[in-house]
Amino acid sequence: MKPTLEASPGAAAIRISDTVWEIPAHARPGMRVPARIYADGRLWKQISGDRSLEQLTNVATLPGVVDAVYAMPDAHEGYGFPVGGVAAFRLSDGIISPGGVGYDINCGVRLLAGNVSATQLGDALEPLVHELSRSVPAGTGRGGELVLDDDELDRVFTEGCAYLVERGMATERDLRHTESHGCLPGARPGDVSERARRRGSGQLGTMGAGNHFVEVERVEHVFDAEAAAALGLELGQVAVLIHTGSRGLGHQVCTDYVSRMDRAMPGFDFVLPDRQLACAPLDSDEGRAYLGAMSAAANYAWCNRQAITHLVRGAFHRVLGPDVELRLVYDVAHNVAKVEDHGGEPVCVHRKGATRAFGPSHPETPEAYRGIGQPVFIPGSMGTGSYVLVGQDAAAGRSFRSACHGAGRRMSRGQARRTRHGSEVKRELAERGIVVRCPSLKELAEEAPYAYKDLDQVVDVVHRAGLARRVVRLAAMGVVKG
Amino acid sequence: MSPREPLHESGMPRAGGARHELVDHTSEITLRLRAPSYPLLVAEAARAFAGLVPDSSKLTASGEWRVLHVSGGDRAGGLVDLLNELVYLGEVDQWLPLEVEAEQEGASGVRLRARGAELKEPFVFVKAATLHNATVRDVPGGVVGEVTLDV
Repeated sequence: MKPTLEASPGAAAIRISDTVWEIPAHARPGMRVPARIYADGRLWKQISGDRSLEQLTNVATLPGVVDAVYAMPDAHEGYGFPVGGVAAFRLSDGIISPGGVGYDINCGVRLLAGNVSATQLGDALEPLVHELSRSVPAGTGRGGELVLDDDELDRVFTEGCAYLVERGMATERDLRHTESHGCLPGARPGDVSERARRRGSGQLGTMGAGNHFVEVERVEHVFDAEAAAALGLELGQVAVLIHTGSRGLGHQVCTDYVSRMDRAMPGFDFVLPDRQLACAPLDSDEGRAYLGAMSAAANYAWCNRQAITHLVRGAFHRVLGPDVELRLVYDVAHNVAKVEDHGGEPVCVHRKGATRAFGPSHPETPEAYRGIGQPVFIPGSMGTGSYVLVGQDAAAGRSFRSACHGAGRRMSRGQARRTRHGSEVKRELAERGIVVRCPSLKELAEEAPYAYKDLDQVVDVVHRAGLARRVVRLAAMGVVKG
Repeated sequence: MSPREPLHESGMPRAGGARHELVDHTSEITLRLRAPSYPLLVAEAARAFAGLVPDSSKLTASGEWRVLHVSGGDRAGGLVDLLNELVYLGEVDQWLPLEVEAEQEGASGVRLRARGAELKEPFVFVKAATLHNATVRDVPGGVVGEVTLDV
């Protein structure tokens, strides 16, 4: 029988601390583990105001789910899983779900730290942002200059960023400062459809549309001087945030496998509360094929951000001279499923709109950041700033070592457009010294600061809950929107 | 939670009484459809998709007719598959359906014929049509359907 919800799951929630709420496993039929939500009182009202909690408790009914399912403080309603959802499944009897990763496979963020200060940048900001907008294809219409044939695409799928070292677009150091060295093992190019390949062949090195961006930042505030120094960040320094993912290729992989698993569901011995949760046992043909195709798409996404890094470095050199360096601080995914160790047992951790946050002692934390923690980036909307945090060892038992991924939208795109015209948004940002390049004023209005939740509040919960520790706050100086 | 407000409606009912409504939410658009039959519902979904392209009303259909087949055994799944096909064609072929005809195929499937326009740029606004709350059901006087688009 299909497990259904008779009452709002929020009604069964118990507040167990200032920042943690729990919906017990007995709150509805079929739940195998409790659901835990990281939120303060105000964020709780927002999260419980849409269907996020119903979706989270749906995830708690899936076979092989381990310990608890989690919602990050920026959670909102998604498809199948809520955005900002984290869940892990045993390899032996658990499942893998494309809806638990999302359409933009390995959407993620990377931070580059410059060797110039905002003061030194001075009047060069406007020409720099202009050059970035010319250099990085963005918006709906522009493809990349790097068109890949099938063999090259296969190498991107299987080798990830290491392939771009060979192409002169990445360095070995870049690889060491990218999650999983920019390559998930186990990619299966044969399980990526022809359609996905066609969508991806001309999009490497492109930003895409929506909430994707390249931003020139200034380190505005340092919370933790020791950690900031370890990450190579100091007050007033120029940095660059890049946010994008696997573009049409990832969307198509997700579409293909939601459909394939949906058709295969009658053959599995469990019933889903939501069709978009379509999934398959990890130990099945469908599960293995999706994991292989998703890994290929994830590797494509890392290459995409690396190719954009190459373009951004070129733009900085043309405007500021060849001595300017942009060092990769780190690159981290926020839409991916990965096999990770959990108390000695391998589990498949799904993070959908959630960031991996390994602590100081985790062996996969880059050597340069041992003792500090893996960098975590939480971008806000343009104009509200972004945060750099580091993972905490204690988060292993709190969220499968995960933190949130952004401020989270609170307004629909239409509502944001109706609130203010794009020209007004642009003028307001200009008055604050923020240079903006966006393909259309309509999209600028859709991504306006008021369309998002309060980032400071979201990060405050992450910090106080011990999921990740605040290091610096960044302020946007220049924004190139997708 | 933002209120669900109609983004736009199809105006006058189409021939046969089909109509649609697009409702936007935080990161998605819900397409609501009503038509006297499943084939007309499918045709209306294609027209609604075309309406998402800015200024599509200024475009003129030309060129070959394309034929798309929609499964009928699982009507909601068939509708989602059709919209995903249009997402793909909009991005890769830069093609948008403007003139649409639909007829029943077999016991419950739909054969869709469409003539359209080539776009100057790939249409990538919609990432995918999802199975999230996807429904098609019979109601007095016809069929209603709902599909959520990830944007």
